[in-house]
Parts: sequence; structure tokens; C-alpha cells
Amino acid sequence: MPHDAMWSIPTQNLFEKTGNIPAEEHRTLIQRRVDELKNEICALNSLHNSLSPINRLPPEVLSDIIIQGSSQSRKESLLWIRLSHICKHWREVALDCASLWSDISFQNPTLTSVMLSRTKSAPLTVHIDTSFPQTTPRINYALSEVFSSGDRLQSLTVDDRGKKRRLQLRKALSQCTTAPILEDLRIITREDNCLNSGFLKDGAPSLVHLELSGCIISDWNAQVPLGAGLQILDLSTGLNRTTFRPRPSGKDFLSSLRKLPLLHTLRLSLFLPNDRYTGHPALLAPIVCRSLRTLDLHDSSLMISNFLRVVHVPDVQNMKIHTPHHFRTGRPDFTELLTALHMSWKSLVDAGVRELRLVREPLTAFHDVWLEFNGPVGRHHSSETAHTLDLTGLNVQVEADTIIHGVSQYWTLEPLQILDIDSILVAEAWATTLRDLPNLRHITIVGVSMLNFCNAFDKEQEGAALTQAVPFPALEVIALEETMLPPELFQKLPKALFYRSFSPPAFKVVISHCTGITEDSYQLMGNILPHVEVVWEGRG
Amino acid sequence: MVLLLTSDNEMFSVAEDVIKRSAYIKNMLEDVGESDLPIPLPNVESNVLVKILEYCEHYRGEPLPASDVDPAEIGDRSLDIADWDQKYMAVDQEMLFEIILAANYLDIKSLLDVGCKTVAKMMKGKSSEEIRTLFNIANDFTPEEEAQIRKENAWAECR
Repeated sequence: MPHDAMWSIPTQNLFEKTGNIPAEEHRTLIQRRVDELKNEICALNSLHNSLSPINRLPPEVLSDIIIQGSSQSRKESLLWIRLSHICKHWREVALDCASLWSDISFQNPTLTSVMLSRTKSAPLTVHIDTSFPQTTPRINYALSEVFSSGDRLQSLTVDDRGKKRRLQLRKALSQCTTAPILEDLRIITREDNCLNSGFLKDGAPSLVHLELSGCIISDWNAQVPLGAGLQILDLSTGLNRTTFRPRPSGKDFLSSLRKLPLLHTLRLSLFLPNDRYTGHPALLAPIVCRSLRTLDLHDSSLMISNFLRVVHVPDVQNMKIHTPHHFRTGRPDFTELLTALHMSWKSLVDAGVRELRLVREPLTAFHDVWLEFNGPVGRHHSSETAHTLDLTGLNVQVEADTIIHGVSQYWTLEPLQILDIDSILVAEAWATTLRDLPNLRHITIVGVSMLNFCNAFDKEQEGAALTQAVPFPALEVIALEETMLPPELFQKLPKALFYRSFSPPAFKVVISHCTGITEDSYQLMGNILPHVEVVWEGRG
Repeated sequence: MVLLLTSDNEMFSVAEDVIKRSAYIKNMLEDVGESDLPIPLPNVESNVLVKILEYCEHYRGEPLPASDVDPAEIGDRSLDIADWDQKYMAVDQEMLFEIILAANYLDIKSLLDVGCKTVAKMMKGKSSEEIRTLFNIANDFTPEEEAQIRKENAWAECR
């Protein structure tokens, strides 16, 4: 066999041994030399890598680069692991960086073990979702391994609503009786008594965010880990019907609230105590949740009213009250609810509330009632949102008059700028409550007659002209949608608007998807009201 | 003014409020007090210091970033980089890593963060082989290590 004199001496020696030693011995020596050469190649490649500018960075800087490089994709996949596969130096740095591995994956039980070992003693972030198809039965083993490291849990999210796969959650949670550094705990399941397992029975003193959905809580004090530092409490039965589920007693719940001085978000869905608080001291001296800024209550009107009588939330900025249809046998008692709300909350205006919406459940034929008060930090509205009263979507069970009367009884409607309505308001409401609002600039009337609105202009029209008390003084737009416009309207409306047509601000009537309007009546309005812009989509 | 002496013996006279973005220099000035002696920077060459001073000058007067942020903290860390910073970091790799090294040495956290983000962005969406090519790195793993890496890759690619 030819060989090159330039090869290393040990290699040349091996060639020279050909035929001089037994083949088996020769093979062993050759293999040893091959291994030596492979190691040499690796060493040379490592030496080459040490000259790369990036590998001159200190390990702590390179580990930060690897963390930054992984942080974007780690929620979606495990491809970030390849950053530990670049070269020996990168791998050493990555394996030494405990926090890189601390967001534990449950994709593969072996991987879970590997990640856990690489986290060393770093705090753990655990997110498990059984709705992902890769979730395997062996996940329970991996979960047990994680929960046996409960003292390192910093964030735990378990979503066990996967249709095909359910976790042995109760068994897994039972292994974790204390979590001293746990800050974020979210368990979302389906009618599971997983908390009745001794989970966190020795406390989670660092907890900041607690969300429990679908967990059956049979013993409030023993099963719900609450600590003085809790800021977000989100409890839901996970049901959209009123199947009986244990609720905390009023006494227990109020006692817990007293111990949460930093609570800024409270969301309770079918979780309020079913209690009239009879004899409870809070009836006389309500609990004041001063730090609370967001309050979402989904429950019966009565339970919400009772709760608001004993718990005051003076500085809430965003409030959502939802009374589902299945709680109502008749008309909801809005007066009761608004009275309790008024007692609990200092002021819509002071709280920066910009929108009050009463809307029905959008996805069902049932008419749930939502009250949404969104302040400047609301999720849906910017601070530029106009003050809005949206009463569309009401049905016969709820009368707009009641709402407007109730709201105006407790809070000033002066800031109101936009009114959306799709049920008939009595003439009295238009004439007394709404007519003189100084900022009301946009009214939308959907599907109902607007004659009562026109009549509000009639009232002492001439007197108003003399005293400058202009009806609806800020009105700029009135939009009529999806309604039948009776012939008398074309007499009343121009008459009502005639006075306004000469007064600033510029006025506009928008008519869309309405019947009863003809080219003649449209022309007539234009002639009578030359300074009013009339927009009719049927014409345009 | 503060005098700085680079590793290639160039002297720089820098306004104190400019160079105080460096926690290293700031602490030194506080410890030593006023002095006519230059502060030696044996790990920073003059061409790199010029770049560092360009950054400090640009952010002159802006509040220093909070120092209690743990750089190793894992979270939804954005790789967003301000326009000016992106242009500033548009240098060859040699200089990019020199800037990062100097930022680390001089303890300029915001610059170090921008540098790390810049490198992280360069790697985004690339395979191991592409990252090796990018940084002129050879595969130096032993066969045994390669076998372990193949396993990890299989885990990573499952999802």
C-alpha cells in the first residue's frame, strides 16, 4: 500500500509494520491511531474555534447571547437547543447556564429529566398543556419528577383540558406541599378535585398571580394558596352554566380578602359566595380593597349586589359585570345592582371610566347582560376613547329607561359623548335626562322609532331659542339604522332639527338600512334643513 | 474631564458625564476622587474606545438603565433594537465583538445588551451549520458527543 513520507511518524510506522506483525494486532494499532487522529482533529478544531472572535467573549456574555437567541423561539419549539450544538465551547457554556434550561419541556420524559438536571438549582418555569398532540402518557412521570422539585418552582401553568389526554394531576400535585418561591400559579382543568391533594398545604408565600379554573374547591381555607403578596386572583368554575359547585362561604372569602392588601385584579366567575352576609361586620364596616384596579364578576345579579355591599372597591378603573341569562327568571334587578355598585365604587368619572356597555352574549341566542366600565388602562380602549353608553343588544328583559335612570341616579352623565341604543326610550328619558347633556355629540338609534327623540326637541322649542338653552347642544351626528321611518317622522325631524340647523356645531343625519324613506322625503328634508348634511346610503 | 489611556497608549480626554455611562469608570471616579492621572484601560484599544465613546456621547444625558435586571433571566426578551443602535452596530464581526468585550469590561450594560441582541439576531432562524459558518467555527465534537447531540436534535425537532 502506498504511503506518503509527509505523514506523521506514528502513521508511517504503522504502514511499515504491514506483514511484520499479526493482522489482529495490526488492526488494533491502526484503530488506536485513528482514534488518536480523530482526537487530534477535534483538538485542532477547538484550537481553530478559540480564534473565532465570538469565542473570545467571556462565558457569561456568550451565555447571555445564547439566552437571547433562544428566548424568541422557546415558546414555540425546542429548536433553540441547537445553540448548544455549535461547538464544544458553546456547549460547555450552554450546559453551565442553568437558567437556559429552566423552562421545562414535557415533550419527552427523557428530555424533561435532562433539562431538570441541567437546571441545577435554578428556579423552574413549568408550562404543560395537554391539548398539544405530542403529550404522551409518560408525561405523568415527568410531571412527578418536576413536582418533587417544588422548592424550585417559580412559575407553574397546567392546562389539563386536552380532550384525549388528562393528567394524573391530583397525584402529581400531591407531591408538592410547599413552594417557597412560586410566584405564578395557573391551573386550568375540567371539574377536577386536584387541589384536594395536600398541594401547597404548607403554603406558597411568594405567590403573586393565582388562577384556578375548573378546580373543585371543597375547602377554601385548606385548598386555595393565598399569600399577602398576591396581586392577581382569578377563580373560575370553568363552566358556563350554574351546575352546583362549592363556593367559599362569605365569612371565609371576606377574611381572605382582608389579607390581600396588594390585590389589584380580581376575577371571579361563578365563584362569589352565595351569602347575604347577614350579621357579618362588613355590612356595617365594609372591607375596602384600595389597591384593586380591575374587577370582573360573572355571577348572579343578587350575588354581585350582596358582594358589593360588603366589599368596597373605590379605585377600580376597569369593571366588568356579567349576569348570565340562566340566573334570571324575570327582569334583572338593575336598581339593586346599581345601588350596590354606587355604594362600593366612588365614582365612574373619578375612576376614569370611559365606557359603559350593556351587551348581550354574542355567541348565543340568550340575552346575558354585561356591564363593562372601561377606564384609561382598559384592555379594549385607549385613553382617547370617548365616554360611551352602549345600550344595544338589550331585550325585553332589560329596559334602557331603567338603565339610564339608574345610572343617572348615581353618577353624572355629563361626560357622556356617545349614546348607542336599540330599544325605545320613553319621551321622559330623552327630554329630562339626555336632552341637556353638554357633551353628547353622537347618537345612534338602531331598529326602533325615534319619535320620542324628536319630541324631546319639541319641548319649549321657542323658549329654548330665547334662552339659548339649545336641546342636545353638542349633538353633531344622529345615525338611524335598520328601522322603519314613518311618514310623520319627516315632519317631526325637520321641525326638531330646524333650530339646530343654524347653530354650531355642524350637524349630520346618517340614515342606513332604513325603510320608509323615499326620494321625495329625502329631498324635502334637504330643502327644509339646508345646513344639515343628510346622508342616505339608499341614495348614494 | 477624565483621562483614559488605552492599551495602545493613546490618551483620551472625555467629559465626565459622557464616560459615566461606564459603571466601571463611574465607580473608579467615586473611589479615587479627582485625579490628573489617566485611567488605564489595558483591555481596550483606541479604535474600540472611539466607538464606545460615540455610543456614550449619543446617550449623554439619558438616564442610566436600572442595574438590578438579571441578564440571565429567561422570559419574552425582545430582540428589538433601536434604529440608531442598529446603525451603530453595523460593523464587521471583529469590531462587533471588540465592542461587546469593551462594554463588558467597562460595565456599560445597555451597550452590552444591544451587542448581545445584535449577535442573537444574526443567529435567528439559522441551523447549527449556518451559525458555524457565520462565526467561522468548526465542528469539534467527538463522535460520542455527536451521538448525544443527535438525540437532542431528535427531541428538538419532534414538535
